Amino acid sequence: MSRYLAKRLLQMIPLVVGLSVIIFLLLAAAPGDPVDLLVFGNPNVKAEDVARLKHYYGLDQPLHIRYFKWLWAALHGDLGYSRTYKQPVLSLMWWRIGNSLWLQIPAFVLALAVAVPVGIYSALRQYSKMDYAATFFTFFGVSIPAFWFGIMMIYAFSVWHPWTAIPFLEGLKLPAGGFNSPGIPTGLPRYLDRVQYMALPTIVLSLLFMASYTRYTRSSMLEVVRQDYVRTARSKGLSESKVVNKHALRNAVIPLVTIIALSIPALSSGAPLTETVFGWPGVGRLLVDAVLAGDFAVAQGIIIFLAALVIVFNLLADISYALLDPRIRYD
Amino acid sequence: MANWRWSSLLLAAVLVLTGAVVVGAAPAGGPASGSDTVVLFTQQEPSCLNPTADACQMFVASTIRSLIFCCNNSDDGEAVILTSEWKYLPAMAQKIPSLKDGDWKILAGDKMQVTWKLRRGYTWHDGKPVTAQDYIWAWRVNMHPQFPSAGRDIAERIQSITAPDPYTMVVQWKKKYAFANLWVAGSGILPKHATEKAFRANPAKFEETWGTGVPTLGNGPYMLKEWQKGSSITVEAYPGWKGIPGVLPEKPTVRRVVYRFISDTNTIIANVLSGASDATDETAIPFVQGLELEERLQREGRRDINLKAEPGLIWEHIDLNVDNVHLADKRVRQALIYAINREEMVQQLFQGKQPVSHSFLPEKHYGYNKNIKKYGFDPARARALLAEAGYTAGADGVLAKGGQRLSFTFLTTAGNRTRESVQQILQAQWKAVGVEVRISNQPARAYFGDTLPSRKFDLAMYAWVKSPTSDCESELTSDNIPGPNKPGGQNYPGYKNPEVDRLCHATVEELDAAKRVQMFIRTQEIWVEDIPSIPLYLRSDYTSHKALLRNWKPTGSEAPVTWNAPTWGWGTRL
Repeated sequence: MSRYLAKRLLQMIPLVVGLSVIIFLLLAAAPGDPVDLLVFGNPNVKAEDVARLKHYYGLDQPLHIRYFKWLWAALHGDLGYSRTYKQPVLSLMWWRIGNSLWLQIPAFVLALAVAVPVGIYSALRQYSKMDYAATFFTFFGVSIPAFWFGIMMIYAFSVWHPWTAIPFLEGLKLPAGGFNSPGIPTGLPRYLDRVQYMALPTIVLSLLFMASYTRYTRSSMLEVVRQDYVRTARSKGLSESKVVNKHALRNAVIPLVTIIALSIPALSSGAPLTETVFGWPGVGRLLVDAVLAGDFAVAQGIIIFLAALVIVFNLLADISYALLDPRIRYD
Repeated sequence: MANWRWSSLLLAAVLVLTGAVVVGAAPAGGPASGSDTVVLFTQQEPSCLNPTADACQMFVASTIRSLIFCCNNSDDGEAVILTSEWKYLPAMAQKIPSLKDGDWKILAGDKMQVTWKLRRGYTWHDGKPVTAQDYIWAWRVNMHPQFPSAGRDIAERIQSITAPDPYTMVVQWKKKYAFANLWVAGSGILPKHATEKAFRANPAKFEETWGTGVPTLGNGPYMLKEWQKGSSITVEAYPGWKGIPGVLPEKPTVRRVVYRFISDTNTIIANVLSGASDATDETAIPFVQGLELEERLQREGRRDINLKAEPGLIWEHIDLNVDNVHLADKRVRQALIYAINREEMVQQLFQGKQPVSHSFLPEKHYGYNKNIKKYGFDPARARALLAEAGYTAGADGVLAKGGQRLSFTFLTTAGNRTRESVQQILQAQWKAVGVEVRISNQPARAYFGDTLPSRKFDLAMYAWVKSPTSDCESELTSDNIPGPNKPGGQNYPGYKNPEVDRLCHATVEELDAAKRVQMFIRTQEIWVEDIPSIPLYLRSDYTSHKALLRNWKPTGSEAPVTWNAPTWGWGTRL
């Protein structure tokens, strides 16, 4: 196991470096740098200004020099400077990832809390009305576009909200996007204030997770309940709850653990569409904005960080597999 | 079963929790957050508020700066203010210098000297007086070789600035410049006492250290109170503000302006409809969505929200590459414009709310030629012109001359719905007179970054941003045709006309406004005959505000709608 681990860890180095080269080249190959974009549409910016600014930002240097400069700085923990946000990429990135987690973690927990019980129930009562309802719901959840669902939620809870006419529900009107109310002091009051802004995007995001986790739980459970050891457990005369909880469920969650491990990098990558619709300053939106604005340092930093995260969590998923399932061994 | 019950309980708990913290709904039509506050929604968050730095040039930075700095005349922190009637009035300056009064003088060798007298008693938001040194300092910063400035167009025309006393500035101009009495030095204003140390320590990093958060010292009616990155900016009335006599009051009734940033326009519209937004600025609601919203407000009979389109300065047009073998012939260019029905197009697409343009200058511009030749829809004329130019119909219905089919590629930014609709309408109309047009759109980056500057197009649709003082030097003179010797030149059609060259260079230096108007009129006469670009329409910007919010006056210029925020106020009755 330790040899396997060392091998995998060593493999990661060329993988990340290779990735950084590809990402750098892809971003650099896109025509038009930030200075070109600034000039465009503004007749007051003269040709001399363009040349001066390009030199200032080092955009007039050859590609390989720019790459090695970037790599050298990155190895020293400096991912560069965001031209549009006027901040070091690293601190900007951490802050945005933190914001994304504000949505992603509750959405993830909510999704699991609903998906696992529903998935198990559907598997145990296959082809029951409840199972059909769950199947319908998961298809709905997987196929509905997040931006559309988001807008519908905003419309329902911020513009339409007929339920505010019902006693005790007068307050159930939610803000149509945003991150915080202005003028709320930092600390606990601001976090409490943020909850109302989190509600809708969390629901929208969790629907996506919920739908796919329900499917995974259901199919994995279906497979397990047909296994011989479950039949053995039943024939031993164990109660149904013991059979389900001790023998079936434990084995059914193994693939789910892998899926969860692989979802964690996705959690930190934010959700560009949901974040955009709800005006949430998360990392997904940052990445999209950075690419559109030609803010290469930011785009590069985020993509490479996420790529590294995917690689690490893939490894963790493999390890957790071996730990949870004694049938699997790595040599 | 037990599991299922637990999850329903959890879901119920989450819903109750969200319900419990929700704030009460705002009364319809009233202020979203108290009668001394205006909550504005917009799409983009500025990255910085430094008036001189290149990265702070985005429009929204300017809308917020015009609250914090005095005053906006399409550049921020200037001594002169531009009103919504496009009138220039003295702001921090006691008067606008003029040739007649002698505070604007022509010196030997076409140099000039402009003397500014500043009003006294104005202070920065830390209480220190605003003096001539602050304007001089801003100019020095802007011109510093290590400072990444994008706006030296005016600043570099200046030789030197001196301050004989703290409230007088004497500006020496290297050569004549027509608007030397509207900009002190084209660099805005910076608090010297608060920024000098940081700038001298590291000029290259100055734009990153100053103007990116609280405090950003200004000299305007409001001071920056809170900046929640990614969410909102709040400004509050500055108690030491003195007002601008006859323009902006000393004591604003709106004590607080909150800017909220939501990148999705549908979400902004939801905020407008729900009453969470008191107003939206020029960039918040794109035109097409504005049209839909306007219809909806009318249909629902909502009188509590005013939504209005103001024709602005963004000029949509199609550049015709005059180096193209067909387009080199003036008759072909004229035929192209006769063949299209621009009037019907703006009716169909924009309900006429973005007016057809006939010149390269907007109608509100002082040099606009009211008698300019207006090309109407005349397909017969187009056919006649093409026949005269030697084109005959080929087997496939497309005209040709000397074996070359009259066929063009038509480029614009991919994914822009409005521009794509325009393309389809025009393509069909050109086809009707035998001109083949192939649409080939590109992402904005490739289009603006490479295709246009290297002039790899036949027809290219895009927009220029004009201003009340626009001239034609960079777009129409032959020495501004982009090429290896002139990277960054902006005469993309490659237009060459010696008389236009002479006129466009001369207008910049002509000090007599009446003569300048004559020059513009003549330039437009020649241009409209040569027609190197097809003028399409002037873009309008939608702004919304609650009907109870008084004195909302978009300018239709680069000066943002916040220019008169100290005069805003809440009424009580629709």
